[in-house]
Formats: sequence, C-alpha cells, structure tokens
Amino acid sequence: MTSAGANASPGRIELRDVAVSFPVGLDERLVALDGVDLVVEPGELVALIGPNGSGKSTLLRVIGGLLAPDRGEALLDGRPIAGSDAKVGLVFQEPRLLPWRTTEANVAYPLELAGRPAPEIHGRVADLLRSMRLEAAADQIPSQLSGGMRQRAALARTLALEPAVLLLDEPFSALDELTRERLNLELLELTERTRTTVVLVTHSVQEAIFLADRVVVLSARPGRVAAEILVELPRPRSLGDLDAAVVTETARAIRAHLAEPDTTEAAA
Amino acid sequence: MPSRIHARHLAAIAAALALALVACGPPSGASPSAGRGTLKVGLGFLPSVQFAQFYLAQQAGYYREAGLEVTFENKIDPDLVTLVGQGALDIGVADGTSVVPAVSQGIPIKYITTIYGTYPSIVFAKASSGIASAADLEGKKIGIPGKYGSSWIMLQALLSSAGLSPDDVTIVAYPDFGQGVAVQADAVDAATGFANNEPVQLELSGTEAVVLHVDDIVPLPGPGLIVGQTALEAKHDAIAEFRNATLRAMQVIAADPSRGLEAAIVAVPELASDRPTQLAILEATIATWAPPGGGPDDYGAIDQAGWQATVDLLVTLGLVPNPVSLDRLVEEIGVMPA
Amino acid sequence: MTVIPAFRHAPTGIPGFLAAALTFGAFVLGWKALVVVGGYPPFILPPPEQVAARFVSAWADGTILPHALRTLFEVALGFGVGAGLALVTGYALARLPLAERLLSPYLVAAQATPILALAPLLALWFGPGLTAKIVICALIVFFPVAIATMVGVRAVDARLLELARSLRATRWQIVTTLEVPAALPAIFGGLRVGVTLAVVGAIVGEWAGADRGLGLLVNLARGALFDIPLMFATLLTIALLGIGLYGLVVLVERALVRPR
Repeated sequence: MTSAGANASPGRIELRDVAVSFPVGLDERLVALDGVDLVVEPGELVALIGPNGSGKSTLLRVIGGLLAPDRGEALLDGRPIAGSDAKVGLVFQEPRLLPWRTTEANVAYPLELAGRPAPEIHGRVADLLRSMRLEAAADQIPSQLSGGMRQRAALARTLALEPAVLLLDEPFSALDELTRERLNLELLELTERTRTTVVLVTHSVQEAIFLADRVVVLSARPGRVAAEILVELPRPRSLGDLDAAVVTETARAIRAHLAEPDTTEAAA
Repeated sequence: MPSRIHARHLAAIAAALALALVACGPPSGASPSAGRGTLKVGLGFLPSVQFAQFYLAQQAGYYREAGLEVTFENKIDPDLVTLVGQGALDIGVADGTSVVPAVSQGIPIKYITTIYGTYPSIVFAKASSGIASAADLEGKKIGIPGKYGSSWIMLQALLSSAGLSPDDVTIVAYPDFGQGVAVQADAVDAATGFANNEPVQLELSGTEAVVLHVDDIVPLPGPGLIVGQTALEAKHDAIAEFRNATLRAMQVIAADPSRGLEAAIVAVPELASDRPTQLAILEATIATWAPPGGGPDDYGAIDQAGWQATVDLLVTLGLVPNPVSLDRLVEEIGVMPA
Repeated sequence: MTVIPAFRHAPTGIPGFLAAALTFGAFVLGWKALVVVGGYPPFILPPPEQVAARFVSAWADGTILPHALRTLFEVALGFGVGAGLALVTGYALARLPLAERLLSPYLVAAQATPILALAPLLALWFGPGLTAKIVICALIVFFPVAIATMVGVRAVDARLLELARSLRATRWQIVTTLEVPAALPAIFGGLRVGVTLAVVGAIVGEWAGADRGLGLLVNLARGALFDIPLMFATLLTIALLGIGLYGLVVLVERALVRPR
C-alpha cells in the first residue's frame, strides 16, 4: 500500500491549466490542449470523450507521464508527474503484446522489468490469468489469440503491478460489439472490486455512460474541457441499466456538447 | 508440414539445370589455330626480357622465313600446361618438373626442346653469410614462396644431396615473392629464387651473392617448349621449324645480347626505362640457356639421363601418382642447323 | 452448398527432401552428359564418378583433412570477429542517427571494393599467417550482418518501445527484452548470408598466400600436382563446408528465434 501524506490519497489526479503543443513544419506549432483543468478522485471512473483531434490521447499521455505539458501542472497524489510511474498503468488501443512471448510471459513482462523474484512473478501471473479467464491461452503466442483475448491479456499485463490508476486509450474500439460489451462488463467488475482510479478515453457515448461516474467532454482542437456530466446510475451496474431513461438524457446532454462548435456557429 | 513438390515442377527444374550446365560448360578444346603454318604460342605470365629470343625471331623474320605465322599469348604456368594439353595453344613454355606430374595425371603433352639448359631455380645468399654449399644450409632460415612448384622441388633435391631434409632448416614463406628482399634485409639467411632475378638484383644493389645450383645433384630439366599430342601429330613439321628458328635466335643473342635487348624493348616498350638492369637480367638468362659446361652449340638438347633421374626424384616426392616412361615425356624433334 | 474449387492440384506430391535428392541426381546426370557429349578429357572436366572417387580417396588418405580444418578455423574465427563487430555496429547505426550519417559512406565503399583486390594488400600488411585470413573473412562478413542488424533493430515497432518505456524499462532491458528478440529474424538473415560469404573470404585470403587451407589446395591441385579430380574434390569440400555452416546457423536460429 502507498504511504499517504496528510492530503494525498492513492490515485488522485489533478490537472491545472495543462497546455500541450507539438512542432509542425519549421515554425508552426499545433496546439493539442489549451488549458485543461481536471480532477479525478481516487476510485473514480472518468470517461474522456470528444471529437477527433480534441487531444484525448494527448491528455492521457500527460497523466501517464509520457508527455510533459508546456504549461500548467499535472499532479498525482499531490506530486508532479515526471515520467511514467509504477502507480499508473496504461492500456493502449492496440494490445501491444510482444509477439514472440506467450500470454503468460507477456503478462509477466512488467514484473520482470521491475526485477521481482521469479516465484512472486509466477504466482501473480497465475492469479491474473485466472481473473481475466486467460488460463487456456497461457502458452499461446499473440498470433494465436483472438482480438478480444489479446486485449484482455494487455489488460492483465497492466494490472500486474497493481496500479492505483488505470489509463485506457480506446481499449476496445478495435473489437466487435459483442466482445466489447463483454470486456466493458469485465472492466466494470474489476474496477468496482479494486477501487482503482480509472480514466478511459472513448468515442462511444454509450460506453462512456455505461462505465463512468463522470463524463468529461473535450472541445475540438485546441482541446479544453467543454463540459463535465455526471452519470446518475447506481453501482454495481449491469447491462440492463442501459435501458434506463436517465441514460438517454445523459446521452443527449453529452451529444449536445460534442456538437457544440456547429451550434455556436449556427447561433452566431 | 512437409513441402510437396510435384513431378512436373521437378522435371522443369531438372531441364533448366541441364540447360544451364550445357550453356556454361567449358569450351570443348578451343579451336586450334587453322592451317599447318599457323602457331599459337604461350609464353610465361608477363612479357619480359627473358623471352627475347621469341621477340627477335618474330621481328627478324626467322619464323616467316620458315613459312610460319606465329602469335604469342601470356599465361601462367599451370594454365599453359592445360591449354597446350587441350589444344587451345600449339606450343607453350613450361618447366620440365611440371611436365612429369602433368603427364602422370593424363595430360597429353610432350617436352620437345630445352630452353633453359641450366636449371634456373636456385638458392642464393649474401656471400658474407658464409654459405658455400648445400651442407651449409643446415639450421638456417630459408625464404621460399611456398611449399610447391619448381623452387620447392629444387630445394628438397638440394638439401637431400647434403643428407638434409626440410626439417633441418627453418622455412619462411613469402607468398608475395618477397624472399629476395628478405635476404637483402637479413630477415633470412638464404632464399630460393631464379638465377636471372634475385641474385642479379642483389649484385646490382652492391652486395656480392653466392648461388647454389641443383644441376650437380640432379640435372632437373628447366623450362622448355611443350607441345600437345594432337598438335604434334597435325603440325609436326611446323613445330620443328619453330624450334629451329627459336634456337637460331638464341644463338644470335648469345653472340650479341644487345640485339636481344632491343627486340625485347620493341615488344615491351616499358623495358626501355631501365636498360642496364634489363641487360643484366638478359645476360644472366643467356648464361642459363646452356647446360652446365656447355655453350650455344648445345642449346635445346634434352638430357635423357637427367630426365630419368628427375622422374625418380619426383616419385620419391610423391608427385607421380601413375608411372610414366620417358617416351611419354620427351620427344626430340628438328635438327639444330649447322 | 459446397464450393468446388476452380483449380486443383493432382494429389500426387513429392516430399521436400526427396525432391532435393532428385534435383541433385539430375544435376549429376547433367554433368555426366556434359562430359560425354562434349568429349572433355578428365584434366579439363572430370566426370562425376571420378570426382567422387577422388573425393573419397583424398579424405581417406588424409590429403584434404588438414587443409579443411585450417579453412574451417579461419572461417569460424573470421565470422565470429566480423559478426560480433557487425552486431554492435548495426545497433549503433540503428539507434544513433549521427553514426549512420558518418559511417555509411565508408561502409558502402569498403563493401564495394572487391575483396579479391584487397586481399593481397591485407596479406602484405598482416603477413602470411592466420591474421590476414581472419581480417579478410571479418571484412566480408561485416557489411551484411551490420546492415541486417540495423534494419532489424530499426524495424522494432515504435509502439512496443513506447510500452517498454511506459513500464520504466532501462536501456539495457529494452535492448535485451525487446530490441534483440524483435530483430533476431532479420539478424539471422544477415548471419546466414554472412557465414557463406565467410567461406569465400577464407578461400580468397588463402589465394593471397597461405601454407595450408582448401584455397591453397585448389591451387596446388591445379598448378603443382595437375590433379584436376582433386581440384574438383576440393571445390566440392568447400561447397559442403559452406552448406554445413549455413545449416548450423539455421539450427541455431531455430533454437533461438521464437515463433511470432
């Protein structure tokens, strides 16, 4: 368990006026994010949604320590984020499994890199494979697995170091609808059990509502927080909840903000 | 999963292979020069003053007078033997000690005339080294190009005459033929070389040289004219005329070496850049044309007894896998003009 | 409704090894036909059975063995040195852009210069001993292995590198757990080429001057012994050496390179 200071709690994310830009050509800069303020409380599941180019993935990378902001602060449990942290786990859109390693070896990878002793690795990996229902695939290489299993293996790998924060960048967008639904349920079940802080980037309004406590809508480039919409669905959640009336209203509210640039132009 | 190749594909591959083999097979005996009086002659690797007699005979018209049209090519020794055996060249210049293993391996050539009556491959040292005979080589460092060829045969013969074997000396190999320089630099005590080359260079640099000849031990046959069996049958008379014309040129040069030098310079203009050295080499070459104790009248003679002794020596050195009789090795043709 | 394929192979197929044997047989028959039809004497092109007999006798009486061992030694050492340096250089070329820009012209120039021309020069500098042969072998092996390594390491998926960095892998861990396994197939491609070239290098090195070796034996057989069947038997030995070493590299590749 992490040692906590007076105000710090495991897995609290705070972003203040975060701006990120990229050099483009000789003199130009592309502004991806222009002053984002966001707080994610420990154990919260926040969905990030926004049009293409709104900087969702960029924001995730800032929280993950893969990108440093030009301006503003990014804090994890009160301390500035400087490079990747063992407390933060990243799940990318592609599984990014090492093609020559078995599922078991892939899931063990972070533990190996962290220098954990072999028996500990072995036990932890066995637990992860079991909890993600990957035992049958333990000795198979990624080319032998289906898309859903690969992504599950990637998720299991990310969980190996027991991160306090889980960052997911459209983790299931490449999968078919049925598998996606199933994995959403698994993710829910996992996070509700472990009280991990989760920030999930998604394109799907439905997915955002189903999973999140709060949906943060980013504006088009340059990205800023356009709206934060609470999802008033009780936990634990199930598929049946998607039929509730509150879901339609929340979806409408989200879509309204997603469409904002057009409506403001029309109004002007 | 085993790869399955079908019989059709196999036949196609085999046919393609066969075609390729036929297409790139060696030339089946390149066309021998047509006509009785036309001769293709192969000389040693590089054109040099050592072939002066051929250049003179060509330029002074000796071949033409005999009704011959002669062209020269330059090849290395092993190739010459094969080309002559094949019939791609009519005549070649090759060392007598190469002829024996070649004939033993079934290459149909014959040695018809001696050019170098004294064996040109020698062992030399600085006179100051105190080496005066084969026995003095014991325990010394001797530089050689490698353990093959005429110099290796000569060295083994020389050592055995003093009851020595190569194990009684230290052999230092100079694959780049730098053994002459090694003697000058005192890196070795003695080295093998050619009578008209390294000792000459040594003396020209101001150091007196001592030369050990193998002729007293075994009269090894030096380079001479070799002819292929088919050419011998088809062009016997032309070859005899060529031999005589060449020996005539040798006698002329022996009497007046400058004529040989000038003929060589016409053929190889680069030689003019250092006349004195080339003349020295030519004079040393002329000295080896005659057998030990002989003169220009003895040019071209084949020493049958010497050949037999040589065959016996080469048998002991393991270079004669199948027995050869002298009549398969040598054939004297033509008569020295009076 | 079953789909009937429009094109179908007849069920008769021939397993791979049998096909190889049959192809070799066709080659030998073609050789024999060439000798018979062309009327070549044995000192120009000996028939296959004579070469085979000489091959057996030359191995049995110990003619070839010492030369083969020397050449094998030169190849092994030269390949080891050349490939070892090439692996490191290839990695540097892949990961240090400055290295590639600085070194590439020299590497390409060295590769373009025919080894046959360089060999006598190297023999002059390093003398007639083993060193010159090993240098020549190493030189000839260097370029293909270095380039294969460079290409293989460059081709490592950038997304996997990002993953490793996100897991706080050290430089060394990235090399050993990611870059090397990812690049191994490409590297082994280079090693396969390199090992066969190493044989060429050893032979060429021996031609520039040697006291032992298969290249020297080829020259001896041709020029001093006039034993052309022995020359062919030696060439056959060289070919077998190359095939054997190539097979060895393939075996090592199968052991080290995991399927993906």
